[in-house]
Amino acid sequence: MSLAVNLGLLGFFKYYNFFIDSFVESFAEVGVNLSYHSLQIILPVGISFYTFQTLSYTIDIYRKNIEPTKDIVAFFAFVGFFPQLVAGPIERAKNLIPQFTAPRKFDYHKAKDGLKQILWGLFKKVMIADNIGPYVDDIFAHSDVYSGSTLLLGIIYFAFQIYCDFSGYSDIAIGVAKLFGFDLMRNFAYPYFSRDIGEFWRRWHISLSTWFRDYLYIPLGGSRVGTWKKIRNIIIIFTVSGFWHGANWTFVAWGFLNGLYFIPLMLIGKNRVNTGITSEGKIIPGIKVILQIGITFILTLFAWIFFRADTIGHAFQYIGGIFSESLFIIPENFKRYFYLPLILVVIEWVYRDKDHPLRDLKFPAWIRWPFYYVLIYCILNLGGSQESFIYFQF
Amino acid sequence: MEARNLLYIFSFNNSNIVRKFLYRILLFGVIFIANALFIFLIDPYNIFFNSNFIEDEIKIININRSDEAMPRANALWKLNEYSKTPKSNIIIGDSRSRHIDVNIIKNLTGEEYYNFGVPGGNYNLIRDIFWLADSKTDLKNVFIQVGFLNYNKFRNYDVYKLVMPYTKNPFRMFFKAWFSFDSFYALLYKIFPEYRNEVITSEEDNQKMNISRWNEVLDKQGYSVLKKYAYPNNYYTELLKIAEYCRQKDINLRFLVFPNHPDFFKIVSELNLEDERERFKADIHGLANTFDFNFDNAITNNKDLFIDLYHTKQCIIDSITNDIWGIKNPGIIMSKYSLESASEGL
Repeated sequence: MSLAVNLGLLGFFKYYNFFIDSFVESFAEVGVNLSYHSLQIILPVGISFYTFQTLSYTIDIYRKNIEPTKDIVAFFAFVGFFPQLVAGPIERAKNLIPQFTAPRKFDYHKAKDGLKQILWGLFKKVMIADNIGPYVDDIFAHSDVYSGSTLLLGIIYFAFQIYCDFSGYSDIAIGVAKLFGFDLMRNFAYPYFSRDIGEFWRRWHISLSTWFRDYLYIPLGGSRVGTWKKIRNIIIIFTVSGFWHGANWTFVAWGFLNGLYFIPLMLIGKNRVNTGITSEGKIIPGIKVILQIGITFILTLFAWIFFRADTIGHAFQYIGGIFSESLFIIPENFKRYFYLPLILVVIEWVYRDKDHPLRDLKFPAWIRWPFYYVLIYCILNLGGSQESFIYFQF
Repeated sequence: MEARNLLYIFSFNNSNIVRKFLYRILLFGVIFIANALFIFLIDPYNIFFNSNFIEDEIKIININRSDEAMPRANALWKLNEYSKTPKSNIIIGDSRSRHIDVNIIKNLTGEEYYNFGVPGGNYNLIRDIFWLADSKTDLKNVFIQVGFLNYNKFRNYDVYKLVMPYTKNPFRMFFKAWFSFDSFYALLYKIFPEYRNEVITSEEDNQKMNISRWNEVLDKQGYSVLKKYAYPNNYYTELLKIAEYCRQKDINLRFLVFPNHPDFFKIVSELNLEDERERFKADIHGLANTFDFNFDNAITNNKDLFIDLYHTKQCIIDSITNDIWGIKNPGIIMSKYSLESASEGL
């Protein structure tokens, strides 16, 4: 009953028009024109996130992993906890509800760390994502006229835009929760330093990946089944994960493509080889690791094209544009903010062993404080035009 | 349900540590509080309490201290000043109309004008200022100074949008470095007159023709701008709305086109934009009576009367002012004779 209500609401608000339109278009392809009604539905903000959160609560109770709470305040605080309500991390009842009911003490270090994480999240969102966002919009909107090199730059920018936008929001949410004494789960763990696609998905949008693992992949049999079923399961969870992002075939293609990337690793049993910190203890990684990171990044870039494109046709046109003679000319006019992703990569690489780069900086206050002031200065004065968080639409 | 259950979410039971935390935040924030206090006390735009600590003359020098500061600072200063004392006669335009002397107009007509000339102003600014002025008072005479350079879809920056948030909520100024710098320079000019004089001297120097500046403007504000041109449907539509509104409300609307040096026409010709320029002229002349000084005449042919391609010297601006507001029947297009007389003795 609970599952039906939750999934029903999600299906109605998010996917009703998509299914009706796709159904009618399919019939139109074979010459049958159906009359139909699509609805002018306004998608409630964050519906995908809190629906999944309540689903996990119901399923965990059904599986007897947790006891149902009798505390209505704690339950609704869990469903509507404001820092992560609209874009996650998608919390589990097992982690969050006990925190509402337990007596809490103000934790000075946790609150301080929360403020630093908020600062870092704001820097990623306002300084990086919002500055390069307009370039991405322009390049994707005019992908038919720009050179291959500009299109390549556009998708690199998008990779950093979506990372900074979404992980920035997660950092702010986790940081705000820490101020109130709550621990939310980690949502990003430096995904662009991943050495293979399996690792990438253990580092990117962790709360969603683990949700699908626990509530879809494992019930389907996970990897303890035959080869074909393993492949089926992988394709299902990646495709559904893509579909979760929105009612558009581009998201489905993005998920499916990631599934395809993952299958070979799983078949040769190497999907859990890289689990620790990338090149732990080293400032400069070895050639092999650089190559692994580079290849993984290129694969994710290729998939991001589908995620960002308006239609599947647009994505193929974009890819065609990249692989043209103009790939080897200097990109037009969009180099101004190229330093921003570089700064991000350097800082995150140096502090990749921490939850976020500003945690426990080993510098005296006279260095740390000016550094924080510089970040605040950048946020207030050099930030891009105010843009909504990308993941609010999901 | 127990009261504890309803309140526990927001309660902390170790207030000493909370106090320590808040104290550290306060300590960290001292620099921001000091900055806010500094901006508030200097009040470089007379927004907070019309601080007399620094005289208006110095603040006006301050807003014109650099090319970077001029557009936003002039726009903010003028929007704030006009909002406090709106006038029914206004001149809207860019750096060229900024130097129109409203005292000359008062002597000629007995009417008070407000000069909304903002360096870097474009058609977005014209539109926004017109509607803002209209919302503040009943307009009587509106002179809009326009030019072909900005009559371009790609000249779409918006100075008004940049500064308007600060007039609506001045406290936002405390969080923007611009205003810290503005306050700092205002104080610097107050304490050290020599720095103030440097700005005045630099502005006087800008009134002289300088070949390197000429070439810089030719390249950066000529070729570079015009090589990317598209007809601005939206600007025409906005001007049309303004013209129709003025007709309905019986507001005397006039357009004003300042002379350009022939080097500008060369660029227009080289970039094959002559038809577009003609279309601009036709658009403007079709909207309202236009004082168009931008034709082959005694001013345009004399390089000594120009500072750069677009800006004439102050004496020419004064002559044009006399020509427009001195005549009894404003609205006719200036004759070549009047322009020649304007340049006599220069």
